[in-house]
Amino acid sequence: MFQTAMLTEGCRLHVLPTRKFKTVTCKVFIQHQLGSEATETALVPQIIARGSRRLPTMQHIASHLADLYGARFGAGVLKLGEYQLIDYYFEIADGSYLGQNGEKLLRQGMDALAELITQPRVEGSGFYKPFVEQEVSNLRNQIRSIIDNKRSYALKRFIEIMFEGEPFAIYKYGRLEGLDTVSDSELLTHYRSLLAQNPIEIFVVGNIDHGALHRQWQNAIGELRNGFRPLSIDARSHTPKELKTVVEQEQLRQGILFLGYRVPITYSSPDYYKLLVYSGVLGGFPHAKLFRNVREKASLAYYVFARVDGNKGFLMINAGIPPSRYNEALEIILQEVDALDAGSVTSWELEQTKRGLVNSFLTMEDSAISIIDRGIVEATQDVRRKAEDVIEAIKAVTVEDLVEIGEQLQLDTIYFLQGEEGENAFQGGMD
Amino acid sequence: MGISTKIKPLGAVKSEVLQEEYHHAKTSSGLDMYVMPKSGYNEKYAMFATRYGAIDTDFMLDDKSGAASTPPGVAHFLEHKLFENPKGNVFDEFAGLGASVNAYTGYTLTSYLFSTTDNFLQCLALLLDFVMTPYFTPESVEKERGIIAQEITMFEDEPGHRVFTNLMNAVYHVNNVREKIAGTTASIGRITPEVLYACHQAFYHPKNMVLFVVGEVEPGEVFQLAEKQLGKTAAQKAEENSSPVVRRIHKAEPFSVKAQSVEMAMAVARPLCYLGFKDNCLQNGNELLKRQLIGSLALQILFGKTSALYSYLYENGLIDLGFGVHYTAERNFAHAVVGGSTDDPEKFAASILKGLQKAREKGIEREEFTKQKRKSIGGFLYAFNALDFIASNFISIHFKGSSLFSYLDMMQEITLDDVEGYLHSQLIEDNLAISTVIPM
Repeated sequence: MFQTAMLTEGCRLHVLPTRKFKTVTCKVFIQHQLGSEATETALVPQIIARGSRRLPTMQHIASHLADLYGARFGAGVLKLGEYQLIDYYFEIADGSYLGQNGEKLLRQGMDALAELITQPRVEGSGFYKPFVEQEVSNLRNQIRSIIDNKRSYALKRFIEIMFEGEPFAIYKYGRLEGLDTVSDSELLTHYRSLLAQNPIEIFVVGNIDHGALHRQWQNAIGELRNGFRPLSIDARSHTPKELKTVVEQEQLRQGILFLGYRVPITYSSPDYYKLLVYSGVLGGFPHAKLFRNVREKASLAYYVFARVDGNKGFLMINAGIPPSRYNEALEIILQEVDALDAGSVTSWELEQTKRGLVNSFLTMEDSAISIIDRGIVEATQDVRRKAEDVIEAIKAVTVEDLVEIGEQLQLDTIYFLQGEEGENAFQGGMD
Repeated sequence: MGISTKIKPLGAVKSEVLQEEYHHAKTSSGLDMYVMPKSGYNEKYAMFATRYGAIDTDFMLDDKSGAASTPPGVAHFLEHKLFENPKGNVFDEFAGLGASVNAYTGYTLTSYLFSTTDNFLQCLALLLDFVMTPYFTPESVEKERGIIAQEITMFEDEPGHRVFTNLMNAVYHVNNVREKIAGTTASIGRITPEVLYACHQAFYHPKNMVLFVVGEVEPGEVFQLAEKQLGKTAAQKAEENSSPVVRRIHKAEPFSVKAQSVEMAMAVARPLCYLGFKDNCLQNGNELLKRQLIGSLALQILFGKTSALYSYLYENGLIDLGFGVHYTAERNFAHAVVGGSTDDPEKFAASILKGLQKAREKGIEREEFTKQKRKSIGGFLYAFNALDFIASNFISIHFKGSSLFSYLDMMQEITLDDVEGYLHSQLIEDNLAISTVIPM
């Protein structure tokens, strides 16, 4: 469990001192609501990663990180439900393994991270212009080339269709529209207001001293804070009016199928672990209904699974299938959902799923990044669970609970990205 | 029951720097076993691997029988099929123990693994059992063909995968690294139960395999259990001299590349361009691991974010953060791959060649060399946080003929001359092939 302390209003430090890992892992999240500023918010971390006041180019940053025994730094955005978060990652070796003063190395590392985050390279009243221009162009390329990874592209289309009109439909990198008119000074103003006013969560896991970290981050971030502004997130669950079925065509050989179900349950709900077990029995494991019937029995797919999004509150099923066998695959999937909803679950299926979920939960507790990722979900959803309570909640789920969950699930969207079977979709190349 | 199995540990290897140690023992049938106790972790992780991968299509069992030639994709097909045994599905049995099981096929090895927080010894017994118990029927092979065909098709839709496969086809004339690990829909059509049995017999011999366990476990228990299950029976002892030890047959690969460039059109938004530099300096044993470290360090120095070349490429919009480099050395192939998405593949490739030329003329700065070495040493610690990384690194280095803990010593031994030698002799245009995927 993290020890949490308030650095300033709206800005918290969560630390987990442990000798389990040979590195210290840190993540800093700046929260914002997913909305009209999504593109600007997505741009910021890309610009931040280009250079700071003391480390003015990527080359300077990389060189400094190499000197810190190969410390690692990353900057990106994350979408959790209706939240968009700037997500800074930093990891540094525990110096005691390298014959170094561990405290000193960590302090230097945290200094570097704080410098990168809070002291961007500026020019006049804005970010350094060449960085902005180039990162606008990179972001444009990034949004355009989602199509190059067909599975990510299909997922993005599915989300856009199912959640049309809701903030959640917005892509985590924002939109192409408006990218041309981004100004370096507005962008800097935007970032400064995020740093000053928005909720910030700092997580550190490893061989660390709480007090020293607290002082260091309070110095680094304290004076930037001014006028905390809590976010107002609309997390209401929507009910589907009618089933949407959308089929789209692309140049690909395997069809990609998605089914999306609405459910008024999120990570903070008491029923969350019932939903998790439901999803696990349906398609969370190789012993699950979907894997067994769509893959092993019908030989229709290499991958087929169900997954819960506990931040937004929905369940999705995803499979890669031959384009001509859409109806067959859909029929089997719906049959398996119906069977589960009717309570047709053996005690073997239920027990194996619960064991599998407990096993993967405990395994995730062995990874600093997974521990932090659970921490930020809990921070945004304002709930905190002990590991024992999670395991208890999973173990307590019954078949009746699954039936109850089935009653709450409503099929909202079926999306199929269809390929062209039979013909070779590719030209040229070598034989 | 009733077989008394006493097995003598061969000792422990300790790393003072990492504050880790592992224990080694061998079954009477010749299986090398390693256990790294690691406390404080919930997870216990075991990996059981054979030195048999996608490139091992041609082999001889002994001098009397002739050479066998099998279709591309058998190692991977076999990996899928071992998950079915006469009792049913292996996934279900692991699920019953609360564990998760998986397997991977590479060019030179196939590994089977499980991760569990409970019932460790039962899981281990199951792992050793299912991997060593082949069971194939024409029906089950036929059904698996459909699943694997979908796996192959999925990869065919991935431009990154296509550009890489095309590159291997341009770099190599005959080496099997040209083939996709899963084979093609045509080649898997030629796989029968007989082919699978023959390959299992040839390569799934304890002497050709290794077991690695990491987590809060008692080494002695692991060793005893493996000896009980995989130790020599009396019959095997009698047959000792005729026990098959497979010999791999590799076609002789010319030094040159097969084609200087290859291009393919796909439904992509931006071109992808990969440069492949063949490394003709092939090594064995400790020298092989050293080669791997030299190649990786050289690429990190020349193309990493601290390099002038990276800055030039990034600031001129020729690469984005997806740009990557990778060096790989095995016993019978080695190459460097440099590439990513770019709007201008020609300018991208030309800039890289020019950058390498400049580096050859100017030489690599000692300060930069020292800095990157330090980074690699620090980076090694990261790999000791996750049990799955420890296991796969351990096994891949073991099959290269070296050991995981030698890494740090060997990294210290590498000199600036080693890195410059690689730059001058191998990162040259004669060894270069370029693969491009362009938008349709």
